[in-house]
Order: sequence, then C-alpha cells, then structure tokens
Amino acid sequence: MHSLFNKIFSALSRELQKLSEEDYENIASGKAKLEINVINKGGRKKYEPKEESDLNHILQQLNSFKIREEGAQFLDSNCKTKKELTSLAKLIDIPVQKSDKVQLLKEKIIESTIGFRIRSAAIQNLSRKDGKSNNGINSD
Amino acid sequence: MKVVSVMNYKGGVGKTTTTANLAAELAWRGKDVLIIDLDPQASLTFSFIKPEEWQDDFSDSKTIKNWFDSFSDSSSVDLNDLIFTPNNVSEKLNGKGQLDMIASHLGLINVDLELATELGGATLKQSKRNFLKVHRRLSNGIQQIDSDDYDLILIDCPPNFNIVTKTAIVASDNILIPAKPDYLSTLGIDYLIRSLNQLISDFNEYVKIDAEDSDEKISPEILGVVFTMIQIRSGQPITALRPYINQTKKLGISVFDEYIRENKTIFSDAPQYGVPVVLNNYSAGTYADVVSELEAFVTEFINKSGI
Repeated sequence: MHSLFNKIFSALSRELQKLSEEDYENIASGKAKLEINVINKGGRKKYEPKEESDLNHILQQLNSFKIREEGAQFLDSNCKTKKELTSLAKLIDIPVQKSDKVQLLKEKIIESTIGFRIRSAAIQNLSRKDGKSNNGINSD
Repeated sequence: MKVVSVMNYKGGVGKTTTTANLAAELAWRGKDVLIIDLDPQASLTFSFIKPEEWQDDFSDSKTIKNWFDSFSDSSSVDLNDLIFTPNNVSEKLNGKGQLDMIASHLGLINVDLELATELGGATLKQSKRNFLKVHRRLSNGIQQIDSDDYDLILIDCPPNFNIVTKTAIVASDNILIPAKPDYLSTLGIDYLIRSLNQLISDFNEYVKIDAEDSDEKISPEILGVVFTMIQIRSGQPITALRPYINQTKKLGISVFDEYIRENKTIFSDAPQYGVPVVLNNYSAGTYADVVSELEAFVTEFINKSGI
C-alpha cells in the first residue's frame, strides 16, 4: 500500500511540475482549483481481426438472404470495420480499392452475395410473371 | 450430326471469333464442320472470304438470304447448293477435316420483315400453324443436308432475338453463349435464357394443335457460357472480371472452365487473311498461350457436346 501511494504521489508531482508559476499562485490564492481526471493509457480498444472461419460463416449467412436490406443489416451488425469488410470482400474475390469507402465496400459485398441472384431472377422471371408470349399470339 | 447455335444479344462479345476458331480447330482435329452465318453483319463470312469475292461470287445467288427469299418468291433453292469451302483455311487444314460454310448477306436483316408477314392468321389455330411453319424453316432446310456429311453444324446468330434467330434455335440441339464477364453482359445472359425459355414453351405448346406434330417438340439446351475477351494477370482473369464469372456459375448456368482471352494483336487482323488464330503456330509466349487456351476450350466443347 505504501508503494502504491508513493507511485500516485510521484505521478501527481510530475503533473504539478507541468504547471506555470501563475498557475501555482492562482491555486494558492483560490482563483483556480485543481481537478483530477484519470485517463486510461491504453487508449482506444485494440482491433481484433475476425478469423477466416468467422468471415466464412458470415459469408455463408449472407448467401442465404433473399432480400438485400436484410443482408445489409446483418452485415452492419457483423462487420463493423473497414478492415473486416475488406477481408470479407477479398474472401468473396471481389475487387477492392484502397480508396473504397465503407459504404461502397458494403454495397459490393451485398451485390456479390445477394444482389446478383435477385437481378437475375428479375430478368428471367419477367415473361412468366406477365404470362404473355412475345410472338404476338396470346396463349389460351 | 449436331446443330449448335452460337448466340448472344449483345454485339461485340467475340461471337464471331469464338465461332471461327471453334470450327477451325474442330476441322484441324478431323471433324467435318459446316458453319452457317445468319448474322447480317456477315462478320463470320468475311472472316473466311474477302468482301469483293463475296460481292462477285456469292451476294446475288449463294447466300442464306437467297434461301430464305426462295419461300416468298417461289424460286427453288436447296441449302446444299449454297455450301462452299473457303480456300485459305482449307489449304491450312490440308485435308485433316472439312470446314464448309454458307455465307450471310448484308440484306438478311430484311428477311425478318418478310418472315413476319407470314405469321398471323384468320384464326388462333391458323396463327399457331403459321408460327410453327415459319419457325421450323431452317430446321427443315438442314434436314436436306446429308447427316453423314458433317459432324457439326455451327450457326452464327445475329445479336437479336428476331425470327431468323428463332429459326436457328428451333433447328439446334445446343446453344453456345459467348459473353464478356461484365455487369451488362451477364444481365444479357439472363435475358437470353428468358427468351429461350419463352420460345421453347410457345413452340411446344403450339405443336399440340396437330396430333401428328406432337412428337416434334424442341428442347435446345444451353451447352454453356464461354467467357471471352478475358484480360489475364498472374495466370488468371483479372479481379474485376472474376466476380461475374463466379456469379454466373452460382446461378447454376453451365459455364466453360476454359475462356478466350483478349489479344488485339493477333485477333484483330486474323479475319483479313481467312485463317483463324487457332491454326497459327507460335513457338512461345503470349500468342502461344492464346492458342493453347483456344485448343483447351475446343476440347471442353467436344466433351460437353459429345461430338
């Protein structure tokens, strides 16, 4: 406990030494007061990249979506960083530029996993949907 | 004798290059091949004969247009009489196999209008009969050709889905689709499949109207998509192209493993000399790689088509 207080007072002493003469006078006269903020030296939480097996699982899930928006929501919750999105894009084998913004990366991933099926079905199913022949003779 | 149509809605996808090289390599391997150029641009025709030769010897009476026209002007033209052997490629083949062709005509585009006037009828039944009669035209014409004469007939279709193109599909066992791996071209594949399905469905519905025709249903199958004009880096298609190749495969569409790469240097002037690139000898380097890839594609074509 003794050594703990020693360390704290040493830290306080180092911070006090950074103050100016005027700061000392203002504190002594009561014009200013001292406030202590404790800041974690670790800074921002360190990025932990997803393992390839995690990305494969995410990819598998994405491939199963039938609606772009649902896939996009899933992607938002599971790939939060540009680095993760870039790794996922590379896993899908789609071209990625360093200048690609996060939003563009997401769109590329969604198009390559969900979008291409939807647009293909849209074109191939059109004739079945309207039920009309394209040769001018109506089906009976 | 198999009949394979080579088609894509989009122009500029390497359709003519694919057809010419496929036919030439098959002939080099001893197959007898007839190519029918149905594209009014006549690019395939001009890949084997010079335009002035076509003008002097073919344009008036020896093209596929003359055969289509014969139905409206009541003249008699046999498809067999239009077949010729292009000289330059024949010399290069040196008797290994046969490569014959039927030339196209720049005026073939008008044939569609003529055929359209033959459709329709006073009753629904008559309309259906006329539909079958017009769409079976090329199929009936091909039946005039002795099936022992050729292992394969390749039909180079125009980049549209008009009536002439449909006559080719009705006559075909298989469809080969050359395509570029890009966004719009892959949409074109979907549109082509939709149109094919529609034609097959209509045709097979209409054949039911006459009991004796009911066994004449058609079932042309897509042999596969062959990706063309591929740029290569590190021995594989560049990253910008790979997603479209992969997506086409994932859609369950048959895709050739082999592809045809872009090489303007050797592909751009080959038609001028009447000998497709695949028949040229290159000792090594990129040109030799292009030829090897074409040969590999033809091997895959043989395996898929069973010719």
